[in-house]
Amino acid sequence: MKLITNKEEIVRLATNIDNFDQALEGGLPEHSVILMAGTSGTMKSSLCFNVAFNEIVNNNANAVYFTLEQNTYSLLNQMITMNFDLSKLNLVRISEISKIDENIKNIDSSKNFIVADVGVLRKEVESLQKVKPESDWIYVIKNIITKLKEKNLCDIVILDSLSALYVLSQFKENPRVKLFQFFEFLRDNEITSLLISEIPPNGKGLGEFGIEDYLADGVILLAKNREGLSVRREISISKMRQTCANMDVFILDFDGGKFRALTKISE
Amino acid sequence: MKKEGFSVDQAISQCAFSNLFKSGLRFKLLFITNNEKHKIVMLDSQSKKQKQVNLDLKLNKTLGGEHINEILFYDIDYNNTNEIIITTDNGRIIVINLNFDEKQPLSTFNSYNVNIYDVFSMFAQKIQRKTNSKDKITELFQGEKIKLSPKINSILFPNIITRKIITIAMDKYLINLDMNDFSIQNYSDLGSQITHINQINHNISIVTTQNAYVLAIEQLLSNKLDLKTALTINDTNITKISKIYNDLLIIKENSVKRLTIKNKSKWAYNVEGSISADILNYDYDYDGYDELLIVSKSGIIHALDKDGKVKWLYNTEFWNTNMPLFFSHKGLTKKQLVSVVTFDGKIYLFKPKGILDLNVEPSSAVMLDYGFYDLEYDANQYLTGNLIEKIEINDTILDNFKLDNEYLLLVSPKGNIYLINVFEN
Repeated sequence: MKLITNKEEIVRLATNIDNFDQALEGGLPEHSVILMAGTSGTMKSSLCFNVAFNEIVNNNANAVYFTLEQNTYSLLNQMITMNFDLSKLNLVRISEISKIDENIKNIDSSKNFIVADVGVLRKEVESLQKVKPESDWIYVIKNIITKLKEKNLCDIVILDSLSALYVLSQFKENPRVKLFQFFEFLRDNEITSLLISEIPPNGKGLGEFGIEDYLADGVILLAKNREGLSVRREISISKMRQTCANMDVFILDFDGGKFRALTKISE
Repeated sequence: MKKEGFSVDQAISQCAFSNLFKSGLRFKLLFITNNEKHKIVMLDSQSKKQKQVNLDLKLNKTLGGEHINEILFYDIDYNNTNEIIITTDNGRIIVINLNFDEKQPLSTFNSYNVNIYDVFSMFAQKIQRKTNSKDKITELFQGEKIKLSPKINSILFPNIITRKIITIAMDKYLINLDMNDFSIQNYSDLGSQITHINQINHNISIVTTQNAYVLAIEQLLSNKLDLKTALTINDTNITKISKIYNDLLIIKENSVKRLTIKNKSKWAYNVEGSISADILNYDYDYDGYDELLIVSKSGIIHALDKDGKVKWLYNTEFWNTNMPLFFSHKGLTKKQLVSVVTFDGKIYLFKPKGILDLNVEPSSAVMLDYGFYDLEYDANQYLTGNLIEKIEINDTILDNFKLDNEYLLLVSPKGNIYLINVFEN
């Protein structure tokens, strides 16, 4: 990170959520580590994809999506049903451990949406006790990022999800140190990172260890609220470094392939 | 680099390798399993020809689908031929004797019958022991149904002095069996499940238990084997134990500690990522002292000296789950190298000594006035692995073995087996 002389120097990535980018002074600060925190069904994955999709299409960026549990096709089908035109992206799937290097070597220079299907990679080792299948996936993730970055193919990282990463790596001892090191790795590589954090239904913090929001540069909070028989989604900025953010709670609406943040009318 | 290979047409989850025969060094044996089917592959180390023997039906009948814990090659009946000894998580031990005439030419290899028989097959609940005490071990051995967990961790190690006793670890018990009739000589309750055993010397074995106590067990020269606790270490999460000279290397998830047999710590070294491969402990650079090569799932190789000081580091960029190997070739010129194989199928061959890493910027403390780096001053921190060659195999690698000190034998979980001559380039 370099020292700026005025705030206009901060490059921002639009979330492409109508009315929400204004609340963010134009978007998410580039190279920040952002926590997308919410309970299940709050469109965390879709919003992250929305940021990456628009950066790829509009700014020739490259994004890598680490899906630790959801299958690639399930993820992409979900985006197609939301009317994202995937033909505008170069889709690359990393789904075999011995072909990771080859996959990366064959990627063109821009407009790539790379899905690293860690769920499938895990299946390759699940019966191999010698390998300790449920540990140390963080190093696979870091190595893929490093290799993509060497080829300038990694502007945005989406990690789906932090909770799954905790299970698949050793975070229980010194989680604060390990998470700090991981966030620093992402910052050092000048990557804008969207980390999906599942808030447990009755959880106290925004992540499993309750420290994630302190270490992240920004937190976008997603929620569901029930009113009578209807349920509405909400979006708000809980924290955003380098930004005078509007921290109001907005209603999150998705219609006609477009996200909108609607201002709440006081009851 | 010459690569040869073949496939065994089945997924592999576990394997072991041995020169099975004490006489006739020509044949080597690889035992592989995917926990449901078991296969023996015999390799002719000269011609590199291989013969596969499918043991599916015979072993399944005996094993009943149990998970294999450990495969040991040992001449258990002293006929100068190693047997394959398998222990299962049901506490069963199966000894397989491969009976074929090695004098026949290899071309008739197909006609050999693999004669598999159980030297003994033993369930824990069937073992009877007369005892006056009414402790838990009585329940274990007298009941028809086992009262402890059905998943018994069984580890076997032969007593190399008495040659009449083998010791097995079942659950939390160390049990000495007479090899003539497999009757129980004595046993010891170690308090919690036994996870690892390593023989340090002829009469000391180190036993790790689940509650993380490490015990040095003295095996006395007697049929009535005494199991005496010589050392207890209070430590947690110990995964492996190895030895260096007369000391112990205590390996935990992310650290290695050198400990004297009297429980005095000499040094400790931490790594990133878990250590799942065995440590190479050998004087591979011929400086007169053993070196250690530690690999972990961070992908970083750590070459240490006997005092735990870094000699060189190298990042292989993927999980290292296979034990590093040392090769020494005594041809016209003596060559030595160490190999590290990553799980994603990259083979790194290094000269044993590191070289200066030009990518590391030395701190000002070691920069001399004249602009030269003082290599005598803690120079090792600027050394990296002296890579001779990196070979890529488009396959994942589960295990690696050394064959005839010049071939690297690689086994993939997909059922592919590769042979690489590491000195041929």
